[in-house]
This record gives sequence, C-alpha cells and structure tokens, in this order.
Amino acid sequence: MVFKKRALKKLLKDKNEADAHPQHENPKNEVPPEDVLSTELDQNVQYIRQTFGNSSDLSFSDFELGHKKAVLVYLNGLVDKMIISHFFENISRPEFLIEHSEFLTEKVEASDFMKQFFAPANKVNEIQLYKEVVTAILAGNAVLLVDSISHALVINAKGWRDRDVSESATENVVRGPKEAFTENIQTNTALVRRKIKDPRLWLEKKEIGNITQTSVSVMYIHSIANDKIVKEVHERLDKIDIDGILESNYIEEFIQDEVYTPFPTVFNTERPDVVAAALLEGRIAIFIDGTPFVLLVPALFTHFFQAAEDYYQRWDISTLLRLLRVTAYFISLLGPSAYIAVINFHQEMLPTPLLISLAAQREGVPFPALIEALIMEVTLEILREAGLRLPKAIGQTVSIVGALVIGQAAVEAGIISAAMVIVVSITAISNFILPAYNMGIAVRILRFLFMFLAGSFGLYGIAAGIFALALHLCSLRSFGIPYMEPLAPYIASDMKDTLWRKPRWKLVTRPRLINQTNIVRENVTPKNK
Amino acid sequence: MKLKKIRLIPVIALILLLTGCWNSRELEDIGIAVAMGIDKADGQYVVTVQLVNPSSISARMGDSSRAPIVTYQEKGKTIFEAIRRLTKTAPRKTFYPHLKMLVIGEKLAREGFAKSLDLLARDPEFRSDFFVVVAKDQRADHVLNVLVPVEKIAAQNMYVKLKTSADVFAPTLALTFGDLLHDLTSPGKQPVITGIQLTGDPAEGEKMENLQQVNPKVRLKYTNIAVFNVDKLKGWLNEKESKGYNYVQNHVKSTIVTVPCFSNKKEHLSVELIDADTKLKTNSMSSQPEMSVSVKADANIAEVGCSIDLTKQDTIEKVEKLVEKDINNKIRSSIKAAQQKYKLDFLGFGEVVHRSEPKYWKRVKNNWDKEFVTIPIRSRVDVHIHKLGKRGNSYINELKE
Repeated sequence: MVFKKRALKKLLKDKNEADAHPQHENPKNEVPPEDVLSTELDQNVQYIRQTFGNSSDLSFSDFELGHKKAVLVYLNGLVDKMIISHFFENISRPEFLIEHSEFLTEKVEASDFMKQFFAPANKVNEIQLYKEVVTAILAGNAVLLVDSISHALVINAKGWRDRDVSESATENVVRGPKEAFTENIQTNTALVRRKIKDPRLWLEKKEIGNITQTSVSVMYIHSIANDKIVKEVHERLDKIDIDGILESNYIEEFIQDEVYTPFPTVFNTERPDVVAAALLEGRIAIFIDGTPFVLLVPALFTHFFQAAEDYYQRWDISTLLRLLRVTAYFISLLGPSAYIAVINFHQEMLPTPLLISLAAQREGVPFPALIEALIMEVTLEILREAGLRLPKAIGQTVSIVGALVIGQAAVEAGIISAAMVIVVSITAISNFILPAYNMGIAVRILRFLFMFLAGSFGLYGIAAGIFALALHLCSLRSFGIPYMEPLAPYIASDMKDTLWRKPRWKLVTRPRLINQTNIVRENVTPKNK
Repeated sequence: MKLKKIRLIPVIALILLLTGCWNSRELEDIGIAVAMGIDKADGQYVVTVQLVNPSSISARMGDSSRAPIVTYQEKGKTIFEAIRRLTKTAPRKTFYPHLKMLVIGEKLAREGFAKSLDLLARDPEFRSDFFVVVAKDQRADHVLNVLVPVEKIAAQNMYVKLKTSADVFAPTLALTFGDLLHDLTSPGKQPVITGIQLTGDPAEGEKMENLQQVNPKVRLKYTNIAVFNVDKLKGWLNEKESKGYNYVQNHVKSTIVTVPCFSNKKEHLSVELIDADTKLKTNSMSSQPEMSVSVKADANIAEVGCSIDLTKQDTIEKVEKLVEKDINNKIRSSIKAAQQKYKLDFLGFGEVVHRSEPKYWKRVKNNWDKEFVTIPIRSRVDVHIHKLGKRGNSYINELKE
C-alpha cells in the first residue's frame, strides 16, 4: 500500500518535471544536428569547456596527429596517468605515423585504427554525440577529438585511487575471513565471485540516480534465489527516481516494504562472507557503487541476531551466544521500563532486603523514577552520539567525562540513585551486543516508549506494549516474506538456525519461504523440479 | 490512512500522561512495614507497626547513629481504623506486602484473637506468608520495640530466627498466617502458635545502647508452643511436649536427640536427626477406634561424651534403641498433653480421621475434642543411624587415666 502511494507521488513528480521542461527529450532516432559533434575541433572543445563550466580538473591535451590538430580530453584524477602517458609515448613514435597515415586521410575507420592501437587491454568506442562525449568523460574515460573528423574516440583509461580491501570496521570476528568490502563496486562483486565459483551467480547491473548515475548491481544465485523476489527487487529498483544515490540507505529507504517501523527490513553488511552465505540461502544482494555496505533482501527479524562468527565457531558455542544475544535484546528493550514498573507499582515483587536497599538509595533523590530514568537514558544517548562522531582523540575525553561526571558525580550528589546507573549501564551494554547496528537503534527508540508505558501503567503497561510490539512485528514483511518467519508463521524446519544453531551437518535445507524451488543445500541442482 | 495513524501517536502519548500514573508510589513515599503487633486495651485494638528506616540500613549510606527501625502505635475499634489512624503519626503511608511477623499479645491471645485478623486475610496488600507468634507474658509492642544486633531489622531477625530454630532444633513452629487461618477453621485441628519472650527490661531494649553491647541486656527469645482452643490461648507446652508436637506433625527436618549413655547414666551422647518422616493412621473407627503415630528417622552420631565402642554394630543398635525411646517419650508426652491436660486435639488427628473415615467423621466432627481424648493412640519410632562423622570411636576411649 505504501509502495502504491510512493509510485503515485513519483508519477506526480514526473509530471511536474515534464511540465517544466517541455520537449527536452526527443526520440533517439531523430537526432537534431546541433547535438552531433562538429568537424571543427575548436567548436567541439569549446562546447565541452562550456558544458563543464571551465572546471579546473578537466584536461585538454593538445598535440598534432599527422599535421592534424588533436585533443585528448579527460578528467584529472579519474584517469590513469600511466595510460595517458603511454598513449602519448606511442603516438609520438615516428613509425606510428607512417603506419597509420591512412587513418589520418580518413581512409580507415577511426575506430579500427584505435582498436588496433590499444587492443586488447583498453576498450575503444566510437561516439558521435556531445552527450555521449560528456558521459564518457564523466565515467573516467579519455576522449580523443581530431580536427575535421566528426567522430570521437573513447579510450578506457579509468584508474582512480581506491581504498584497499581492508579489515572490516563494523563487523569484527575473532575467527573467520577478515576482508571487507570497499567503495568500489567492481572490487566488491569480485570479492563475492571469488567465494562462489559458479556461473549461476548472476549479476545484473543498472544505473540509478539522474545526476550521480550510480552503478547498482543485483546479485543472486540463479536456481536458488526465488525468481519472484528477484523480479520484485528489479521492479522496486526501477521505480526509484532520484537525483543521486550516495549510500545504500538511499536505496534501502526506497525499496523497504514498511516505512513506518523502527525495525529494519533490509539487511546491510560489509562482509563478503556474509553476502555469500546469504546468496547461498537464496537471498539477493544489492551492491551500490561508492559504499562498502551491501544490501541483502529479504531480511527477517532473526537475521539481525546472526553474527558471521556464529558459523565459524562450534554450534554449541554459537547457540549459547545467540541465546545470550536474545536475552540482551530483551534487557536492552525492557531494562529501564521493568525497573520503573517494579519501583513505582510493584514493590511487593522485590525481596525485602533488595527493596530496603533500593529504598535507601532512593532517599533524597529529588525526581520520580521515570524522570530519573529519562535523564539517565537521554544523557547516555547524548554521550554515545558524541563519542561516535568525535575524532578518536576527543572521543576518549567524552567517555571519561561521561563515566566519571555523569555516573559517579550524579550518584554522589544524590541526584540519581546508584541502582538507576546500574540499570542504565546494563541496558546500554546489552544494546551493544547486537551484531546489527540498525536493529540496536530500533530497540533504543522503543525503549523510551516502554519507559513511558511502565511509568503510567507499570507491568500492565509493559505487557500491553509487548503485545502491540508483537502484533506490529508480525504485520511486517520483507519483500513479501513475513518478518517473523520462522517464529510466526512457525516453520519447524527453519527453527534450526534462529534462536539457536544446530550443527552444520543438520543445516541441510534452505529457509523455506525465501526459496521454494531449491531447498536441499547439499544438492544445488534442482531434482527434476 | 497510514499517516493518520501516525498522527494518533502523540495523542495516545498525551492520553498516557492523563492517567496520572494510577496507583504509582515512589519508593521514598512508602514506609515498609516489617512487623505488626496487636494488643487489646480498653475494648480497642492497639496496633503497633514496625517500619524500616532504610537510610540507616543501606550498606553505602548507612548512618549507624539512627535506629534501623521505628515503631508507631495507634488504637482503633478495628485494625483497619488503627492502621489508617497511623497516618497521623507515621511519616509515610505504611506498606504491608513485606510484613514478616505478626505478634499477638498474650492478653489478646487469651481473650481470643480470631476476630481481629479479617483485614489481614482480606486486604490484598497483606500476604499470607508472614509468621505469627504470641508474645509470652508480654504486650506485643514490647516485643516490637526491641533493637537487636546482627540482623538490624528486628522483624527480619525474628523471622530468620524462627525459621532456623524450627528447621534445625524443632521445639518451635514456623507458622505462617495462611496455616493459622487453616487451623482456625479446620474442625480437625486446634491451632498452636510459638511464643516469643523478652528477656530483660523492655524499656532498655528500645535504646541504641542495646545494640552496642557484646552481650545485649535485652533479647528476644522463642519459647515453646502455645495451645489454643480455637483462638483462645489455653496454655504453654514445655520443650519436650513442643518437640513431641513437631514429631507428630512431621515438621521435624533436623534436630538433635540427647540420650544418656548406657555405659554411664551421667554421661550423654547426642545424635543429629537428618530426616524424620511421620505417618498418622487410624483404624476402622466405628468398630475399634484406635490411632497410631509412626516415625521413621535417619540419624548421625553427633557427639559422644562417654566411652563406648561405636565400631560395633551392637553399640549402634543400642544407641538407636535409646534414641527411639527418647523420641517416643516426647511423642507420648505431647499426646498426654493433648488428651489429658488440655483435652484439645492440637495434634491434628481429626484431619486424619476426616480423610480416612469420612462417615465416622461426619458423626463426631462437632464433638471431636471430647471424642479425641478417649481414643487410644499408639506410637512407634524407628531410628536408623548412618554415619559416625569424622571419627569412629571417640578419643575419650583412649584418654590417659
């Protein structure tokens, strides 16, 4: 329903744009003469200069090619300097001119000439339109313009500085592959291909973003991934109409099923092994150029509790760690609210010595428990956010100030009770145990809601809140798959890898709802189905 | 439509605030009551409530110059009236779920206390798991006004003391309010309640000095069991009868039995009972009325004060016989107290009869106490000694002459 609405909005937007610039786009077969490259070199150069607004990183290298003036146009930094210098080296060799004088007299097709010249390493294309020239330059190619020839040659000279493949910064493991994706989409897809050596690993590329023209690739294993979901992913991606895509979240917000929920319904990771594992389960990866974070769909609630390392440690250890994670999740969700509820409404539930101890701590605390909890929680969130954004050196100061001033001093001054500091700290630490940061944020938001419920209605409010939350979670879908699967709908065979993980040899089947055709893991080829 | 739902959220949030946090109590606004005493004076109930003073108990901020507990007292025609009148003197609203002890003054106990307890059974703030004791020869408020060392809260002190002594010594009885209500209403058993006694001058016990002494002048001590006819105190059992009562009731978890040595009657040895299991049985009551108590107990040798050879099976058997005799004596004395001295079935044989002979019970239940005293009761004790502890024979056997 939401999707429908978004499509409607988009339609409206499209219409507005069309009204603003009438007849901007013509059918391609009727190219107006002013769009075609001129035979005058100066005119062409002038046009490009104007289009780029005299940008200083646009280089025009003038040289003579057999007494004809020629210009090589490229963007500094986007091209490989080695390729450019190699080009000039070759071209200035005397034998080159004799050999290829035919081209210069227009007897030989320009493209053939260059293809011979640069083949096979660098791709060479022939183009005729100004628009194409601009696109080619922007993509990092060098464009060769020669006087009196109305064709331009695109020389693939792409070569900019990329970050090296390095260790993952956000998803660390003790045991397991350390490499993480980079900002380069080709490096990223290659990292996955290296793990899955099978031609059925399909990669479909598209460009999204009217201005940024960002490459987005959809990767899945054909015959494992559900075709319907693949189709759905493509449909949703094609509907995106935006000026730029700079990070995967741009895409995530467009393609998620439900907007009004704190829970993420699209998974993101920067680990190639996680992507490979997801592909093998039949899920679909979306690579976006310019970010190391790759999207995985469909993403279910339980996926956010699975750390990569769960599969690299023995199953019993992983199971215990997962149960710990689920426990921590509940602590992080309900810690302060349960404390408020018990302190304000259900004092009879506490053992007498604990009650007396808490009562002693509360003596002289000026705020009601709810306000006290809110003060501490908000302070903690501020500290956390401050520590995250600051330079590392200052970040340490923040943590010291936070720990000493807020924690110790507030208790000693009698503004906050020590028990509240303990509750808030445990809650915060429990929150960090979740492997997925975005799921952690969801809990952070809901925690405040539960605190208000507890402050108003006690445990009754918390229970009501949990019911509402359960209903909400069960109503969510990720690309049509129920979010709480396999808990609700309950699918016994999929429980093997949710709250606990069975031994590797017991994980024979793939998740049922995500892929319905190719279920057995040990036999990738479908058996006459 | 979805957006409208989203707009509802702030509205709902505001509604939450309108509830005024129904029934919410901040911890610092409640006075935690840990013990309650009930007396009667001038036809009115006198209720004494012992509250905790949290700030002087807390480990961190503990202020030892202030008393850890404080008591408040008010009169009223009903308990509830007295409790509500307490708000005039007590700084906070009293909070009862953590009540540990209910102390009934002996005077009220002798007059009959049952009609005073309805509030405690009715009000959801009162649990039924606190212990009930009778202040022997005392007013209840005297017992509650004593400061005790070690466990700072007097009620907690009394609570743990009663539990421990009932568990490992067994002449006392850890009777909860719920059990008491059952005994009061069950036709087959008369209630009994443990007594608590104050040693020393009650006025001294209120002072902090009582806490600062190695050997406090004023102490609280559990005595034996009081026998009731429904809710009226009829008399006190001695230690032997009290223990006998607990054996019959199968309340004994662990206790000690001291018997004279067979080698020398002046010297003694003690065994520790680690487990005792009692069964009450009745014969066919209409034809040949007879009831029986049989106890099976496991014991360890705990202390030997005489020279005997424990390595011999024969000796062990002799000790077992002596222990059996001792336990049997206690049981007999409690039965005697029930049938002859008080003529009240506080041992609960009526309940056994009720279960096994319902038809007969229907006939006699309104007159059970009279019927009970005429019925012969047999008793049998079977003790089995298992372990000797760290040694076999005592070093006493090898003492130099």
